[in-house]
Amino acid sequence: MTKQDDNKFDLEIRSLLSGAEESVPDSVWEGVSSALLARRRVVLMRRIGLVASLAAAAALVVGVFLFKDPSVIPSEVEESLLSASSFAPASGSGDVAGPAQNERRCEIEVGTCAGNPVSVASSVAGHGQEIAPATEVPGTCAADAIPTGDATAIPSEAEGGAKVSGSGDVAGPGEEIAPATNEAETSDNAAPAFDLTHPDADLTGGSPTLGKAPRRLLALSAGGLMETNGNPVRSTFTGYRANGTVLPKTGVREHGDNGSYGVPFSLGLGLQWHFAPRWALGTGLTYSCLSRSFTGTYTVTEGDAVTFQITSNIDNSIHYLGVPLQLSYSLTGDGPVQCYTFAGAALEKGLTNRFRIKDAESDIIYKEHVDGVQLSFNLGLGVRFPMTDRVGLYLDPSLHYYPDCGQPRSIRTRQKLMFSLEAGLRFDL
Amino acid sequence: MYPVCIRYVGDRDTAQDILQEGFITLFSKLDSYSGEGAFEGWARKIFVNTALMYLRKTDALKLGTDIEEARSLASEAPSAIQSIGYAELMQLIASLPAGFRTVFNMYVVEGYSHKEIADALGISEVTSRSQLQRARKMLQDKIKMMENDKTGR
Repeated sequence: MTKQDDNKFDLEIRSLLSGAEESVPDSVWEGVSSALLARRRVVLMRRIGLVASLAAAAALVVGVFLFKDPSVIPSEVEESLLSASSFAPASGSGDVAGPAQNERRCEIEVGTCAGNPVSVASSVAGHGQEIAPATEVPGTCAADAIPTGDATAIPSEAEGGAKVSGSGDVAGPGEEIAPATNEAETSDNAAPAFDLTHPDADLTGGSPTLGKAPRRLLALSAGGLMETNGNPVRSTFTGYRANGTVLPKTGVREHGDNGSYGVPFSLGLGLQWHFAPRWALGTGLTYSCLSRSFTGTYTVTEGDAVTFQITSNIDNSIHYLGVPLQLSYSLTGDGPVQCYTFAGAALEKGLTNRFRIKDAESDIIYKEHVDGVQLSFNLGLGVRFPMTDRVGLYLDPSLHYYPDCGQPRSIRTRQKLMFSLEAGLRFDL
Repeated sequence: MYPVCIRYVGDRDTAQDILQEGFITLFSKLDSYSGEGAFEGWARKIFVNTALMYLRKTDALKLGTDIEEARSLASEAPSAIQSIGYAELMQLIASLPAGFRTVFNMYVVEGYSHKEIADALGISEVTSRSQLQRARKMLQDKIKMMENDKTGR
Protein backbone atom coordinates (compact mmCIF):
# COMPACT_ATOMS: atom_id res chain seq x y z
CA MET A 1 0.00 0.00 0.00
CA THR A 2 1.56 3.28 -1.11
CA LYS A 3 1.48 6.64 0.55
CA GLN A 4 -0.84 7.86 -2.20
CA ASP A 5 -3.23 5.05 -1.41
CA ASP A 6 -3.13 6.05 2.24
CA ASN A 7 -3.88 9.65 1.41
CA LYS A 8 -6.76 8.66 -0.84
CA PHE A 9 -8.19 6.44 1.87
CA ASP A 10 -7.85 9.22 4.44
CA LEU A 11 -9.61 11.69 2.15
CA GLU A 12 -12.49 9.32 1.59
CA ILE A 13 -12.89 8.77 5.29
CA ARG A 14 -12.77 12.52 5.96
CA SER A 15 -15.34 13.30 3.28
CA LEU A 16 -17.68 10.65 4.60
CA LEU A 17 -17.40 11.99 8.14
CA SER A 18 -17.53 15.68 7.30
CA GLY A 19 -20.81 17.39 7.97
CA ALA A 20 -22.07 14.45 9.94
CA GLU A 21 -24.72 15.29 12.50
CA GLU A 22 -26.11 13.39 15.41
CA SER A 23 -29.06 14.41 17.51
CA VAL A 24 -28.04 15.14 21.08
CA PRO A 25 -30.36 13.86 23.82
CA ASP A 26 -32.09 16.53 25.92
CA SER A 27 -30.52 15.12 29.07
CA VAL A 28 -27.14 16.42 27.92
CA TRP A 29 -28.42 19.99 27.62
CA GLU A 30 -30.17 19.72 30.96
CA GLY A 31 -26.96 18.41 32.51
CA VAL A 32 -24.96 21.26 30.98
CA SER A 33 -27.35 23.95 32.19
CA SER A 34 -27.63 22.57 35.73
CA ALA A 35 -23.87 22.11 35.92
CA LEU A 36 -23.24 25.67 34.78
CA LEU A 37 -25.77 26.95 37.28
CA ALA A 38 -24.10 25.01 40.07
CA ARG A 39 -20.70 26.24 38.93
CA ARG A 40 -21.94 29.82 39.02
CA ARG A 41 -23.14 29.24 42.58
CA VAL A 42 -19.79 27.81 43.56
CA VAL A 43 -18.04 30.85 42.08
CA LEU A 44 -20.41 33.12 43.96
CA MET A 45 -19.83 31.21 47.18
CA ARG A 46 -16.09 31.45 46.70
CA ARG A 47 -16.35 35.19 46.23
CA ILE A 48 -18.50 35.54 49.33
CA GLY A 49 -16.05 33.35 51.23
CA LEU A 50 -13.15 35.44 50.03
CA VAL A 51 -14.83 38.69 51.01
CA ALA A 52 -15.80 37.21 54.40
CA SER A 53 -12.26 35.97 54.96
CA LEU A 54 -10.79 39.33 54.03
CA ALA A 55 -13.27 41.08 56.28
CA ALA A 56 -12.44 38.67 59.10
CA ALA A 57 -8.74 39.19 58.59
CA ALA A 58 -9.15 42.96 58.47
CA ALA A 59 -11.30 42.93 61.58
CA LEU A 60 -8.77 40.73 63.32
CA VAL A 61 -5.95 43.07 62.45
CA VAL A 62 -7.92 46.10 63.56
CA GLY A 63 -9.01 44.33 66.72
CA VAL A 64 -5.58 43.12 67.68
CA PHE A 65 -3.59 46.22 66.88
CA LEU A 66 -5.94 49.04 67.73
CA PHE A 67 -7.92 47.68 70.64
CA LYS A 68 -5.51 45.49 72.48
CA ASP A 69 -7.42 45.95 75.72
CA PRO A 70 -10.79 47.60 75.59
CA SER A 71 -10.64 48.39 79.30
CA VAL A 72 -7.78 50.81 78.78
CA ILE A 73 -8.30 54.03 76.93
CA PRO A 74 -5.45 54.63 74.57
CA SER A 75 -3.35 57.52 75.90
CA GLU A 76 -3.97 59.62 72.80
CA VAL A 77 -7.69 59.32 73.31
CA GLU A 78 -7.33 60.22 76.96
CA GLU A 79 -5.20 63.25 76.10
CA SER A 80 -7.69 64.41 73.56
CA LEU A 81 -10.43 64.06 76.10
CA LEU A 82 -8.45 66.09 78.56
CA SER A 83 -7.68 68.83 76.11
CA ALA A 84 -11.23 68.92 74.88
CA SER A 85 -12.48 69.18 78.42
CA SER A 86 -10.44 72.27 79.17
CA PHE A 87 -12.90 74.17 77.00
CA ALA A 88 -15.86 72.61 78.72
CA PRO A 89 -17.64 74.24 81.61
CA ALA A 90 -16.14 73.35 84.93
CA SER A 91 -19.32 72.16 86.41
CA GLY A 92 -22.72 71.41 85.20
CA SER A 93 -25.56 73.82 85.35
CA GLY A 94 -27.67 71.39 87.20
CA ASP A 95 -29.03 69.27 84.45
CA VAL A 96 -29.26 65.61 85.13
CA ALA A 97 -27.79 63.73 82.27
CA GLY A 98 -28.77 60.31 81.03
CA PRO A 99 -26.35 57.43 81.22
CA ALA A 100 -24.60 58.29 78.02
CA GLN A 101 -24.36 61.92 78.94
CA ASN A 102 -23.14 61.00 82.39
CA GLU A 103 -20.44 58.94 80.83
CA ARG A 104 -19.28 61.86 78.76
CA ARG A 105 -19.58 64.14 81.76
CA CYS A 106 -17.26 61.82 83.63
CA GLU A 107 -14.64 62.31 81.02
CA ILE A 108 -15.08 66.06 81.07
CA GLU A 109 -15.03 66.29 84.81
CA VAL A 110 -11.89 64.29 85.07
CA GLY A 111 -10.26 66.52 82.57
CA THR A 112 -11.47 69.72 84.09
CA CYS A 113 -10.30 68.73 87.49
CA ALA A 114 -6.92 67.65 86.38
CA GLY A 115 -4.49 68.53 89.10
CA ASN A 116 -7.20 68.52 91.68
CA PRO A 117 -7.07 65.55 94.00
CA VAL A 118 -10.13 63.81 92.83
CA SER A 119 -11.11 60.32 93.66
CA VAL A 120 -14.26 58.66 92.75
CA ALA A 121 -13.47 55.05 93.33
CA SER A 122 -14.09 55.32 97.03
CA SER A 123 -17.67 56.31 96.45
CA VAL A 124 -18.46 52.89 95.11
CA ALA A 125 -20.43 50.82 97.47
CA GLY A 126 -20.89 47.78 95.35
CA HIS A 127 -22.39 46.57 92.18
CA GLY A 128 -26.00 47.43 91.78
CA GLN A 129 -26.12 49.68 94.75
CA GLU A 130 -27.44 53.14 94.16
CA ILE A 131 -24.73 55.61 94.78
CA ALA A 132 -25.36 59.24 95.07
CA PRO A 133 -23.20 61.32 92.86
CA ALA A 134 -20.52 63.33 94.49
CA THR A 135 -21.51 66.80 95.37
CA GLU A 136 -19.37 69.63 94.41
CA VAL A 137 -19.36 73.29 95.19
CA PRO A 138 -19.80 75.23 92.01
CA GLY A 139 -16.53 76.43 90.76
CA THR A 140 -14.57 73.85 92.64
CA CYS A 141 -12.98 72.74 89.52
CA ALA A 142 -12.23 76.15 88.23
CA ALA A 143 -8.63 76.46 87.34
CA ASP A 144 -7.83 79.12 89.91
CA ALA A 145 -9.32 77.05 92.72
CA ILE A 146 -7.42 73.95 91.93
CA PRO A 147 -4.20 73.41 93.72
CA THR A 148 -1.51 71.69 91.85
CA GLY A 149 -0.75 68.24 92.94
CA ASP A 150 -0.98 64.63 92.04
CA ALA A 151 -4.22 64.09 90.29
CA THR A 152 -4.47 60.54 91.39
CA ALA A 153 -3.66 60.96 95.03
CA ILE A 154 -6.28 61.27 97.70
CA PRO A 155 -5.11 64.01 99.95
CA SER A 156 -5.45 63.58 103.64
CA GLU A 157 -6.76 66.23 105.99
CA ALA A 158 -3.28 66.73 107.37
CA GLU A 159 -2.06 67.64 103.97
CA GLY A 160 -4.70 70.26 103.71
CA GLY A 161 -6.68 68.29 101.29
CA ALA A 162 -10.38 68.01 101.24
CA LYS A 163 -12.08 66.07 103.92
CA VAL A 164 -13.35 62.92 102.45
CA SER A 165 -16.67 61.89 103.69
CA GLY A 166 -17.60 58.39 104.64
CA SER A 167 -18.81 57.67 101.21
CA GLY A 168 -15.69 59.00 99.72
CA ASP A 169 -17.15 61.99 97.98
CA VAL A 170 -14.87 64.56 96.56
CA ALA A 171 -14.42 68.10 97.60
CA GLY A 172 -12.05 70.89 97.01
CA PRO A 173 -9.18 71.50 99.39
CA GLY A 174 -10.17 72.63 102.78
CA GLU A 175 -13.81 72.17 102.16
CA GLU A 176 -15.87 69.89 104.22
CA ILE A 177 -18.43 68.12 102.26
CA ALA A 178 -21.51 66.65 103.65
CA PRO A 179 -22.24 63.01 103.08
CA ALA A 180 -23.62 62.14 99.74
CA THR A 181 -26.68 64.04 98.85
CA ASN A 182 -29.47 62.92 96.66
CA GLU A 183 -29.38 63.42 92.97
CA ALA A 184 -31.89 66.25 92.96
CA GLU A 185 -29.78 68.25 95.31
CA THR A 186 -26.73 67.54 93.32
CA SER A 187 -28.29 68.52 90.11
CA ASP A 188 -29.03 71.91 91.54
CA ASN A 189 -25.47 72.54 92.39
CA ALA A 190 -23.08 70.64 90.29
CA ALA A 191 -22.81 67.93 87.78
CA PRO A 192 -21.75 64.61 89.20
CA ALA A 193 -18.09 63.95 88.94
CA PHE A 194 -18.89 60.36 88.09
CA ASP A 195 -22.05 58.43 87.67
CA LEU A 196 -21.15 55.00 88.83
CA THR A 197 -24.65 53.72 88.82
CA HIS A 198 -24.40 53.25 85.12
CA PRO A 199 -24.14 49.55 84.33
CA ASP A 200 -21.13 50.17 82.17
CA ALA A 201 -19.18 51.91 84.88
CA ASP A 202 -16.02 50.34 86.16
CA LEU A 203 -16.57 48.75 89.52
CA THR A 204 -13.14 47.47 90.14
CA GLY A 205 -12.02 50.40 92.21
CA GLY A 206 -9.24 51.22 89.83
CA SER A 207 -8.78 54.19 87.60
CA PRO A 208 -11.82 55.54 85.87
CA THR A 209 -12.65 53.60 82.76
CA LEU A 210 -15.11 54.17 80.05
CA GLY A 211 -18.01 52.01 79.01
CA LYS A 212 -16.73 48.62 80.01
CA ALA A 213 -19.43 46.20 80.99
CA PRO A 214 -18.64 43.69 83.63
CA ARG A 215 -17.53 40.50 82.01
CA ARG A 216 -19.91 37.63 82.52
CA LEU A 217 -18.57 34.15 82.54
CA LEU A 218 -21.38 32.28 80.86
CA ALA A 219 -23.71 32.96 77.98
CA LEU A 220 -26.58 30.91 76.68
CA SER A 221 -27.54 31.13 73.05
CA ALA A 222 -30.48 29.93 71.03
CA GLY A 223 -30.49 30.23 67.31
CA GLY A 224 -30.93 28.80 63.88
CA LEU A 225 -28.62 28.26 60.98
CA MET A 226 -29.15 28.03 57.24
CA GLU A 227 -26.64 26.87 54.70
CA THR A 228 -26.26 27.29 50.99
CA ASN A 229 -27.64 24.58 48.80
CA GLY A 230 -27.07 23.80 45.17
CA ASN A 231 -27.47 21.21 42.48
CA PRO A 232 -23.97 19.91 42.13
CA VAL A 233 -22.24 19.26 38.89
CA ARG A 234 -22.91 15.83 37.56
CA SER A 235 -19.54 14.23 37.65
CA THR A 236 -18.32 12.43 34.59
CA PHE A 237 -16.09 9.42 34.52
CA THR A 238 -17.24 8.11 37.85
CA GLY A 239 -18.62 4.91 36.46
CA TYR A 240 -22.22 5.53 37.41
CA ARG A 241 -23.23 4.21 34.04
CA ALA A 242 -21.57 0.93 34.75
CA ASN A 243 -23.85 -2.01 34.32
CA GLY A 244 -23.69 -4.68 36.93
CA THR A 245 -25.84 -7.32 38.42
CA VAL A 246 -27.21 -6.11 41.71
CA LEU A 247 -29.03 -8.42 44.01
CA PRO A 248 -32.50 -7.09 44.82
CA LYS A 249 -32.64 -5.40 48.19
CA THR A 250 -35.29 -3.38 49.96
CA GLY A 251 -34.48 0.26 49.55
CA VAL A 252 -34.44 3.30 47.34
CA ARG A 253 -32.32 3.60 44.22
CA GLU A 254 -31.79 7.01 42.71
CA HIS A 255 -31.94 7.45 38.94
CA GLY A 256 -29.02 9.47 37.69
CA ASP A 257 -27.70 12.30 39.75
CA ASN A 258 -29.98 15.20 39.00
CA GLY A 259 -31.81 15.56 42.28
CA SER A 260 -32.48 18.97 43.76
CA TYR A 261 -31.41 19.92 47.25
CA GLY A 262 -33.31 21.95 49.82
CA VAL A 263 -31.74 24.61 52.01
CA PRO A 264 -30.18 22.85 55.01
CA PHE A 265 -31.19 24.32 58.33
CA SER A 266 -30.27 23.78 61.97
CA LEU A 267 -31.67 24.82 65.31
CA GLY A 268 -29.68 24.77 68.46
CA LEU A 269 -28.94 25.72 72.02
CA GLY A 270 -25.48 26.66 73.10
CA LEU A 271 -23.48 27.55 76.15
CA GLN A 272 -20.46 29.81 76.06
CA TRP A 273 -17.76 30.02 78.69
CA HIS A 274 -15.66 33.19 78.73
CA PHE A 275 -12.47 31.75 80.15
CA ALA A 276 -10.30 34.77 79.33
CA PRO A 277 -10.99 38.46 78.67
CA ARG A 278 -11.41 37.96 74.93
CA TRP A 279 -11.71 34.23 74.59
CA ALA A 280 -14.75 32.03 74.88
CA LEU A 281 -15.35 28.35 74.42
CA GLY A 282 -18.78 27.21 73.32
CA THR A 283 -20.65 23.98 73.02
CA GLY A 284 -24.27 22.93 72.79
CA LEU A 285 -26.74 20.76 70.98
CA THR A 286 -27.96 21.22 67.43
CA TYR A 287 -30.62 19.63 65.30
CA SER A 288 -30.15 19.72 61.52
CA CYS A 289 -32.36 18.74 58.65
CA LEU A 290 -31.07 18.10 55.13
CA SER A 291 -33.59 17.59 52.38
CA ARG A 292 -33.59 16.75 48.70
CA SER A 293 -35.89 15.47 45.95
CA PHE A 294 -35.08 13.07 43.18
CA THR A 295 -36.54 10.46 40.89
CA GLY A 296 -35.92 6.94 42.03
CA THR A 297 -37.20 3.43 42.44
CA TYR A 298 -38.37 2.01 45.72
CA THR A 299 -38.08 -1.75 45.91
CA VAL A 300 -39.37 -4.13 48.57
CA THR A 301 -37.94 -7.63 48.62
CA GLU A 302 -38.47 -10.82 50.49
CA GLY A 303 -35.41 -12.96 50.30
CA ASP A 304 -34.18 -12.53 46.71
CA ALA A 305 -37.67 -11.91 45.33
CA VAL A 306 -39.00 -8.44 44.57
CA THR A 307 -42.47 -8.12 46.07
CA PHE A 308 -43.13 -4.45 45.33
CA GLN A 309 -41.54 -1.84 43.15
CA ILE A 310 -42.43 1.72 42.27
CA THR A 311 -40.62 4.42 40.34
CA SER A 312 -41.62 7.88 41.43
CA ASN A 313 -40.54 11.26 42.74
CA ILE A 314 -39.02 10.84 46.18
CA ASP A 315 -38.51 13.39 48.95
CA ASN A 316 -35.62 12.54 51.21
CA SER A 317 -34.71 14.11 54.53
CA ILE A 318 -31.88 13.26 56.88
CA HIS A 319 -32.06 14.41 60.48
CA TYR A 320 -28.96 14.98 62.57
CA LEU A 321 -28.28 15.72 66.21
CA GLY A 322 -24.94 17.35 66.80
CA VAL A 323 -22.53 18.63 69.40
CA PRO A 324 -20.42 21.60 68.32
CA LEU A 325 -17.27 22.86 69.97
CA GLN A 326 -16.26 26.39 69.15
CA LEU A 327 -13.56 28.82 70.16
CA SER A 328 -14.34 32.54 69.84
CA TYR A 329 -12.10 35.55 70.00
CA SER A 330 -13.57 38.96 70.60
CA LEU A 331 -12.27 41.55 68.19
CA THR A 332 -13.83 44.69 69.58
CA GLY A 333 -14.45 44.03 73.24
CA ASP A 334 -17.65 45.44 74.66
CA GLY A 335 -19.54 48.10 72.82
CA PRO A 336 -22.73 48.80 70.92
CA VAL A 337 -21.69 46.25 68.28
CA GLN A 338 -19.43 43.41 69.25
CA CYS A 339 -17.44 41.59 66.61
CA TYR A 340 -15.70 38.32 67.06
CA THR A 341 -14.18 35.58 65.02
CA PHE A 342 -14.65 31.92 65.70
CA ALA A 343 -13.56 28.48 64.59
CA GLY A 344 -14.68 25.07 65.64
CA ALA A 345 -15.75 21.57 64.82
CA ALA A 346 -18.90 19.55 65.29
CA LEU A 347 -19.86 15.91 65.45
CA GLU A 348 -23.31 15.01 64.23
CA LYS A 349 -25.10 11.70 64.49
CA GLY A 350 -27.77 10.88 61.95
CA LEU A 351 -31.06 10.11 63.64
CA THR A 352 -32.89 8.88 60.59
CA ASN A 353 -32.81 8.91 56.81
CA ARG A 354 -36.41 9.31 55.72
CA PHE A 355 -37.85 8.83 52.23
CA ARG A 356 -41.31 9.86 51.14
CA ILE A 357 -42.17 8.02 47.93
CA LYS A 358 -44.96 9.73 46.00
CA ASP A 359 -47.73 7.36 45.07
CA ALA A 360 -51.11 8.05 43.49
CA GLU A 361 -53.03 6.53 46.41
CA SER A 362 -50.96 7.61 49.37
CA ASP A 363 -47.32 8.41 49.89
CA ILE A 364 -45.07 5.64 51.14
CA ILE A 365 -42.69 6.38 53.99
CA TYR A 366 -39.46 4.43 54.15
CA LYS A 367 -36.77 5.00 56.76
CA GLU A 368 -33.17 3.92 56.91
CA HIS A 369 -30.75 3.84 59.81
CA VAL A 370 -27.80 6.23 59.50
CA ASP A 371 -24.49 4.72 60.50
CA GLY A 372 -21.45 6.65 61.63
CA VAL A 373 -21.10 10.32 62.42
CA GLN A 374 -20.57 13.44 60.36
CA LEU A 375 -17.61 15.60 61.27
CA SER A 376 -17.50 19.23 60.23
CA PHE A 377 -15.30 22.26 60.67
CA ASN A 378 -16.31 25.88 60.62
CA LEU A 379 -14.69 29.29 60.53
CA GLY A 380 -16.47 32.61 60.65
CA LEU A 381 -16.88 36.14 61.72
CA GLY A 382 -19.72 37.07 64.06
CA VAL A 383 -21.39 40.20 65.22
CA ARG A 384 -23.56 40.73 68.31
CA PHE A 385 -25.94 43.60 68.85
CA PRO A 386 -26.72 44.01 72.55
CA MET A 387 -30.41 44.68 73.04
CA THR A 388 -30.37 44.87 76.80
CA ASP A 389 -27.71 44.51 79.44
CA ARG A 390 -27.89 40.74 79.18
CA VAL A 391 -29.51 39.90 75.89
CA GLY A 392 -28.04 40.33 72.44
CA LEU A 393 -28.89 39.41 68.90
CA TYR A 394 -26.09 37.65 67.07
CA LEU A 395 -25.36 36.97 63.42
CA ASP A 396 -22.66 34.44 62.62
CA PRO A 397 -21.81 34.07 58.95
CA SER A 398 -19.35 31.26 58.49
CA LEU A 399 -17.91 28.63 56.20
CA HIS A 400 -18.56 24.99 56.97
CA TYR A 401 -16.52 22.12 55.61
CA TYR A 402 -17.89 18.59 55.69
CA PRO A 403 -15.23 15.92 55.07
CA ASP A 404 -16.29 12.58 53.67
CA CYS A 405 -17.54 10.49 56.60
CA GLY A 406 -19.47 7.84 54.69
CA GLN A 407 -22.81 9.48 55.34
CA PRO A 408 -25.91 9.06 53.14
CA ARG A 409 -26.12 11.26 50.09
CA SER A 410 -27.05 14.84 50.92
CA ILE A 411 -25.99 18.33 49.98
CA ARG A 412 -23.11 17.89 52.41
CA THR A 413 -21.71 14.88 50.55
CA ARG A 414 -22.05 16.65 47.21
CA GLN A 415 -20.93 20.15 48.18
CA LYS A 416 -18.45 19.83 50.97
CA LEU A 417 -17.79 23.53 51.51
CA MET A 418 -20.82 25.61 52.36
CA PHE A 419 -21.54 29.11 53.47
CA SER A 420 -23.90 29.41 56.41
CA LEU A 421 -25.62 32.12 58.31
CA GLU A 422 -26.54 31.56 61.93
CA ALA A 423 -28.74 33.98 63.83
CA GLY A 424 -30.16 33.94 67.32
CA LEU A 425 -30.24 35.42 70.78
CA ARG A 426 -27.47 35.22 73.33
CA PHE A 427 -28.19 35.64 77.01
CA ASP A 428 -25.44 36.56 79.45
CA LEU A 429 -25.88 34.56 82.63
CA MET B 1 -19.42 17.83 18.28
CA TYR B 2 -21.37 14.77 19.32
CA PRO B 3 -19.98 12.71 16.39
CA VAL B 4 -16.48 13.83 17.38
CA CYS B 5 -17.03 12.50 20.88
CA ILE B 6 -18.50 9.24 19.60
CA ARG B 7 -15.54 8.68 17.29
CA TYR B 8 -13.09 9.09 20.13
CA VAL B 9 -14.71 7.09 22.88
CA GLY B 10 -16.60 4.54 20.84
CA ASP B 11 -19.94 4.44 22.66
CA ARG B 12 -22.79 6.91 22.78
CA ASP B 13 -23.41 6.93 26.51
CA THR B 14 -19.85 7.87 27.32
CA ALA B 15 -19.84 10.28 24.37
CA GLN B 16 -22.79 12.09 25.96
CA ASP B 17 -20.79 12.51 29.14
CA ILE B 18 -17.83 13.83 27.15
CA LEU B 19 -20.11 16.17 25.26
CA GLN B 20 -21.60 17.50 28.47
CA GLU B 21 -18.22 17.91 30.10
CA GLY B 22 -16.90 19.56 26.95
CA PHE B 23 -19.72 22.09 26.82
CA ILE B 24 -19.25 22.95 30.48
CA THR B 25 -15.55 23.55 29.82
CA LEU B 26 -16.38 25.52 26.69
CA PHE B 27 -18.84 27.83 28.44
CA SER B 28 -16.51 28.27 31.39
CA LYS B 29 -13.60 29.22 29.14
CA LEU B 30 -15.44 31.30 26.59
CA ASP B 31 -13.64 34.43 27.71
CA SER B 32 -10.29 32.82 26.93
CA TYR B 33 -11.17 32.55 23.24
CA SER B 34 -9.03 35.26 21.71
CA GLY B 35 -10.90 35.48 18.41
CA GLU B 36 -7.91 34.27 16.46
CA GLY B 37 -8.80 31.35 14.24
CA ALA B 38 -12.15 29.75 13.72
CA PHE B 39 -14.35 29.35 16.77
CA GLU B 40 -15.32 25.87 15.64
CA GLY B 41 -11.70 24.78 15.59
CA TRP B 42 -11.18 26.17 19.08
CA ALA B 43 -14.32 24.48 20.35
CA ARG B 44 -13.43 21.22 18.64
CA LYS B 45 -10.08 21.20 20.40
CA ILE B 46 -11.87 21.38 23.74
CA PHE B 47 -13.99 18.34 22.95
CA VAL B 48 -11.02 16.38 21.63
CA ASN B 49 -9.02 17.23 24.75
CA THR B 50 -11.94 16.21 26.97
CA ALA B 51 -12.16 12.89 25.17
CA LEU B 52 -8.41 12.36 25.42
CA MET B 53 -8.53 13.09 29.14
CA TYR B 54 -11.20 10.47 29.53
CA LEU B 55 -9.24 7.91 27.52
CA ARG B 56 -6.12 8.61 29.52
CA LYS B 57 -8.05 8.32 32.77
CA THR B 58 -9.49 4.95 31.80
CA ASP B 59 -6.11 3.68 30.56
CA ALA B 60 -7.68 3.14 27.16
CA LEU B 61 -4.58 4.50 25.48
CA LYS B 62 -2.35 1.67 26.65
CA LEU B 63 -1.04 0.48 23.34
CA GLY B 64 0.55 -2.89 24.10
CA THR B 65 -2.35 -5.18 23.31
CA ASP B 66 -3.42 -3.08 20.36
CA ILE B 67 -0.10 -3.62 18.66
CA GLU B 68 -0.25 -7.34 19.22
CA GLU B 69 -3.73 -7.37 17.77
CA ALA B 70 -2.61 -5.44 14.71
CA ARG B 71 0.34 -7.65 13.93
CA SER B 72 -1.94 -10.36 12.64
CA LEU B 73 -3.47 -8.03 10.09
CA ALA B 74 -2.63 -8.52 6.47
CA SER B 75 -1.78 -5.59 4.27
CA GLU B 76 -4.66 -5.06 1.97
CA ALA B 77 -5.26 -2.68 -0.86
CA PRO B 78 -7.60 0.17 0.09
CA SER B 79 -11.23 -0.65 -0.36
CA ALA B 80 -13.73 1.53 -2.06
CA ILE B 81 -15.44 2.91 1.03
CA GLN B 82 -18.14 4.71 -0.94
CA SER B 83 -20.28 1.63 -0.63
CA ILE B 84 -20.61 2.06 3.12
CA GLY B 85 -22.56 4.85 4.82
CA TYR B 86 -21.75 7.24 7.64
CA ALA B 87 -23.38 5.13 10.32
CA GLU B 88 -21.49 2.02 9.30
CA LEU B 89 -18.20 3.88 9.17
CA MET B 90 -18.80 5.29 12.64
CA GLN B 91 -19.52 1.81 13.85
CA LEU B 92 -16.32 0.47 12.32
CA ILE B 93 -14.22 3.29 13.74
CA ALA B 94 -15.77 2.73 17.14
CA SER B 95 -14.83 -0.92 16.96
CA LEU B 96 -11.12 -0.10 16.59
CA PRO B 97 -8.98 -0.52 19.69
CA ALA B 98 -8.87 2.75 21.62
CA GLY B 99 -5.21 3.46 20.89
CA PHE B 100 -5.61 2.95 17.14
CA ARG B 101 -8.87 4.84 17.07
CA THR B 102 -7.38 7.83 18.85
CA VAL B 103 -4.33 8.19 16.62
CA PHE B 104 -6.48 7.58 13.54
CA ASN B 105 -9.00 10.24 14.56
CA MET B 106 -6.35 12.76 15.44
CA TYR B 107 -4.34 12.30 12.28
CA VAL B 108 -6.91 11.50 9.60
CA VAL B 109 -9.94 13.46 10.78
CA GLU B 110 -8.57 16.31 12.90
CA GLY B 111 -5.40 16.79 10.91
CA TYR B 112 -2.89 16.73 13.78
CA SER B 113 0.74 16.02 12.92
CA HIS B 114 2.53 13.00 14.37
CA LYS B 115 4.53 15.32 16.59
CA GLU B 116 1.37 16.87 18.01
CA ILE B 117 -0.16 13.43 18.52
CA ALA B 118 2.99 12.20 20.21
CA ASP B 119 2.98 15.19 22.56
CA ALA B 120 -0.71 14.88 23.36
CA LEU B 121 -0.64 11.17 24.04
CA GLY B 122 2.80 10.94 25.58
CA ILE B 123 4.13 8.53 22.96
CA SER B 124 6.92 8.76 20.43
CA GLU B 125 6.35 9.93 16.87
CA VAL B 126 7.38 6.50 15.61
CA THR B 127 4.71 4.88 17.74
CA SER B 128 2.16 7.35 16.43
CA ARG B 129 3.08 6.50 12.83
CA SER B 130 2.98 2.80 13.46
CA GLN B 131 -0.37 3.09 15.28
CA LEU B 132 -1.82 5.02 12.39
CA GLN B 133 -0.59 2.52 9.86
CA ARG B 134 -2.07 -0.33 11.80
CA ALA B 135 -5.31 1.50 12.37
CA ARG B 136 -5.68 2.08 8.67
CA LYS B 137 -5.03 -1.55 7.90
CA MET B 138 -7.46 -2.72 10.52
CA LEU B 139 -10.17 -0.37 9.30
CA GLN B 140 -9.64 -1.39 5.70
CA ASP B 141 -9.90 -4.98 6.76
CA LYS B 142 -13.17 -4.33 8.54
CA ILE B 143 -14.53 -2.41 5.55
CA LYS B 144 -13.58 -5.29 3.31
CA MET B 145 -15.29 -7.77 5.60
CA MET B 146 -18.39 -5.64 5.60
CA GLU B 147 -18.37 -5.42 1.83
CA ASN B 148 -17.98 -9.16 1.64
CA ASP B 149 -20.90 -9.67 3.98
CA LYS B 150 -23.01 -7.37 1.86
CA THR B 151 -22.17 -9.12 -1.38
CA GLY B 152 -22.58 -12.49 0.28
CA ARG B 153 -19.07 -13.63 -0.52
